[in-house]
Amino acid sequence: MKQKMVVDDPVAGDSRLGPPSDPETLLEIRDLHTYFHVMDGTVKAVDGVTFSLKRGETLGLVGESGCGKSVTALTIMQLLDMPPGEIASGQIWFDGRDLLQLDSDDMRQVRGADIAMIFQEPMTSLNPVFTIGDQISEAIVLHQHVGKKEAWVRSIDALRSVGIPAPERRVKQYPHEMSGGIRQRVMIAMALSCNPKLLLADEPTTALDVTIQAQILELIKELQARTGAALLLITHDLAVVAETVQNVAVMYAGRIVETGTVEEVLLGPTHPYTQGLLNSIPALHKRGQELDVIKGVVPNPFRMPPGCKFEPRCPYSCDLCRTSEPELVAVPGRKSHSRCFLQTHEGAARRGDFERAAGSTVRGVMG
Amino acid sequence: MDDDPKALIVESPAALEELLTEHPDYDVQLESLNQWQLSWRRFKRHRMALVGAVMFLFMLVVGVVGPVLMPFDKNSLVPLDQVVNNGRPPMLVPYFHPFGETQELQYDVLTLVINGIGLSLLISVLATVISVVIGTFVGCVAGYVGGFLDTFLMRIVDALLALPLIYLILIASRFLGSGNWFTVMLIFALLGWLQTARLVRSVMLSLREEDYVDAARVAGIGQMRIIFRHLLPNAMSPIIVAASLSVAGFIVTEAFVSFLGFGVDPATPTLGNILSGAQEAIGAGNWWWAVFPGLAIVFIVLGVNFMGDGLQDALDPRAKI
Amino acid sequence: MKGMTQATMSDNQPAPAASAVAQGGAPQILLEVRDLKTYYPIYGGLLRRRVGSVYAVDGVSLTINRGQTFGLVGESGCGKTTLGRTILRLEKATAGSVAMDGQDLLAMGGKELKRMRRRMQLIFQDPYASLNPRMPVSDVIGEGLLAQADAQNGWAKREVRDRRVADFLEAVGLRRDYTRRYPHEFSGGQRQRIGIARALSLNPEFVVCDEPVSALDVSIQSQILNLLSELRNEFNLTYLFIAHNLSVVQYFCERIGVMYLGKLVEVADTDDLYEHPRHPYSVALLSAIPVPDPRVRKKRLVLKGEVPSPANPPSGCRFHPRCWLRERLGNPEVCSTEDPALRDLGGGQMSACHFAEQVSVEAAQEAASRQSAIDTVAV
Repeated sequence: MKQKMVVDDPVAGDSRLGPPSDPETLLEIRDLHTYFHVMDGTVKAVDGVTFSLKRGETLGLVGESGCGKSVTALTIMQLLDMPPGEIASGQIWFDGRDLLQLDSDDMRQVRGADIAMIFQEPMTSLNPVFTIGDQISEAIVLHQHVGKKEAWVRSIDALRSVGIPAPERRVKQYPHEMSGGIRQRVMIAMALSCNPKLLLADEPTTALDVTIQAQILELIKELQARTGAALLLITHDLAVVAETVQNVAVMYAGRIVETGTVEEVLLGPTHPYTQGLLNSIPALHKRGQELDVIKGVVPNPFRMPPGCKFEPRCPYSCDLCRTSEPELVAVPGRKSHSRCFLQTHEGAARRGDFERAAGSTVRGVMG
Repeated sequence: MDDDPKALIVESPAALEELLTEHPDYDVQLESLNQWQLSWRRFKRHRMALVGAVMFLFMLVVGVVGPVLMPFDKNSLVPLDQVVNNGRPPMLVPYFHPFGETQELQYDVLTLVINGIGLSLLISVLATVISVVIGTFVGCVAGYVGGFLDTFLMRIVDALLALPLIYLILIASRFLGSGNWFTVMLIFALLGWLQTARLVRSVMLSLREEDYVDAARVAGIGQMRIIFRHLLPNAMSPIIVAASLSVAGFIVTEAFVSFLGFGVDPATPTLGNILSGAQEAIGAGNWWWAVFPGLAIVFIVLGVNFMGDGLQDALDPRAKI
Repeated sequence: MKGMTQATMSDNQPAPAASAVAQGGAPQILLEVRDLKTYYPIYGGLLRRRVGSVYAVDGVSLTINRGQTFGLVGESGCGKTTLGRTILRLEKATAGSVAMDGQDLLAMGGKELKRMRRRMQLIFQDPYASLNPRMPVSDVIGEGLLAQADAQNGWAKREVRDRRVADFLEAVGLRRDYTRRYPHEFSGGQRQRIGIARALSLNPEFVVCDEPVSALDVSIQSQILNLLSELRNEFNLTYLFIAHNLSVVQYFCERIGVMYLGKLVEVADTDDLYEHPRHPYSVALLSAIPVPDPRVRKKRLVLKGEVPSPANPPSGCRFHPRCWLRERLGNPEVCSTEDPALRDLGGGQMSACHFAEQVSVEAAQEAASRQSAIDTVAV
């Protein structure tokens, strides 16, 4: 039984039509719903996601496995298999056009040229039977309308721009002849070869060693700054987000539960899930001290709780949380939004407890 | 389910964990289960597998019971007054010979086919069982132990694979008597294990790197027990599929071998030598002589293949209920 | 510990030979590894001759005290997993010695080795691969008990085994009636608990944890780490904790060994390592760890190039082609000609660098500030 909440300042919902008013907004996703129809029912992988990204801005989409962050990126690129997947509703405004209204030819023009994506597993994202020169050139020929020779030259340049040594030699090699770090650089080179306006990076460093991860993150940062492309970085690692992006959106069970600048969210979380994630970071605890744990497990997608999806695991929940789902509301005095009753006048009474606990998280991070 | 918390029953520990997250105060019970019931449930889900199982079982019953009810005796000839020169097709003689009659010797095609099914199945199933047992054993040893033994065994396999089937049957016939179904079955078994050995070996090679095998070694569990308790059961899926393909394969192989005259003596009918006898007759228009045995072959092969598919999934405890 | 009876816990555990619990005096050495080498042959050519070796572990020496939690870190190809497996006799050592409680593990065989196995166990990384999908939990845990049954512990009897299995399920936070279930019915976190119960049911003293939380979600990681801590205290365990996540290792381990290309390059108590690392690779590794605090805008020290192949390690110091300190010192010749030994720098900190005394975080910061991720030169 959902009660319509009086919200302080709701984020623009599905009632708005037409492109975003601010010309600086490159990507705006409104109330996106992506479902998967499987044998046991329907999984609502993305269930009402709304956020936006300005030109040149960087945003981190954070969450654990199953929260819907990868599906969101794949929906933007429209790379999902349509049965069993279904984009049930929503709008994806990119550079003044709703991508969900485009036909497949137009979308193909956008993909690769305006929006590029790099994936987690560089081994499986590169075709093993083609040289990397072939693979990079393919995109260039398609989107930049040049001949093969010229595309080849541009491929070598692309490899050089991501710091791959001896690019003239590398360009003729096959993916299996390279290590994970180099392959990931190749993927980045491919993604940036057509000067996209938006780069989607889906867990780009999770499969890499930590020193290679450092290389790749530094590379992404440098390239992003140099080309001015916007970056949507998807990861489960809060530390990666802290170092790489300006803004964060935290996802849980197919919804965004908190957004804000990276300082706001990591130093002063407004949602108990974010606070829980921060508390679980071992480095914030002394050796021998018991780790704070988010009790329980992620809800079964076929048996979601009726109210707030995080409520069963939340230390601050109450009856209201069990029956109604909170909306994403603005947090006064900050650029953040939070999907939690604690930030509304209903939850004002319990906010004190939460802020005290969150404060100790901040101290932990500082110390 | 929301009404009486005490009546909550869930199927799996993972589901129990989820439910307890939401309602820590509920008294949740695990559904009591029986692995065989689960396997049966999974098997039933596969409609084609059920169809296949029915087909195959039907043929088995026909093959076992049929020859008892309608025995084939090459000496039984139809009385002279009913001799017809070219044999009669089905439907003209609806009651006595539903599959028609053959020419000359005037055998009832139905009797022929029933006995043929019986013997063909006997040969195929027996050969499959023997060849799978030998092949699995050799493949296990070669795959798990590795090293020189593996190389040695696999070179033997390679060498034997080069031998032509018909030739071997001929040679064996010289010593064991020609036209003997047992000889044919034995040759099939002795050549059939080669493919299974290769398959099982490659499955073993990948399985032995599994973590749970390491866990068993670290606990001090012996090699033999590892092979039989850890590796073999997880290799069952491909082995079962291979076995079912094997049965189908032997049916067809027997058919062509007997058809060519190198197989079983027509004194004891098999699906193959019936076809052999039917060669001329087809030219004379006696289509029923070849069609019914041919249909029987197709029926068995399809049934076995569908069933094998379903068995593979049903026996895998990982498959969703 | 929930429901564990004293009887079950101390169930016929043979008093470890020649070692009483340390009485606040000198710590006792449980495991001593000396110059351990594990090489894998590479075959090639027409005649399949041995053309080379993979030097997975190339002369590692370390000691682990009883009750200690020793962390082993390093990146892919450094040999940390191989080292753990070689100690447990899952891989064949090429040279060197491993002594547990004074007894030479590598020389053992047959029955003696089998009995020794009871004292050292392994927890795996991937909870989805470490349990045989065709065996119910009672067998997954019980078969080890059966293999190690003897007259003393009575594990040959089914009721004894079943009770012990249920006891250990409870000890790791699962329900006793899970014994007849199959692994696929459990979640990832639950499966990892089963793997832990399996390892502990034999009452080991020494447990190698091979990346036990890497494959788990962050919120489950904490649960499992807490469990491992609890069990460590309850059962007096000694852990060799292999991991690549340095922040987890910092929290969980007292002493850390850093490996690179088959060798230990630094060994130190955790706090010493994180405050003043004394090997250029350790510095780079620590610098690479992302920190969840956005105000820390440090310039990362980015190592050039890739990790070389363990089949073809560089001459002299294995790290020299990528070493920022060497570059800073003007490429001294000794780095490329002589392989530095792991030497004691005092206070329990050891480093394998000719110029360990000149390694400092400030020097690293300075080197980092002059770097670009794009200008990484080939090595």
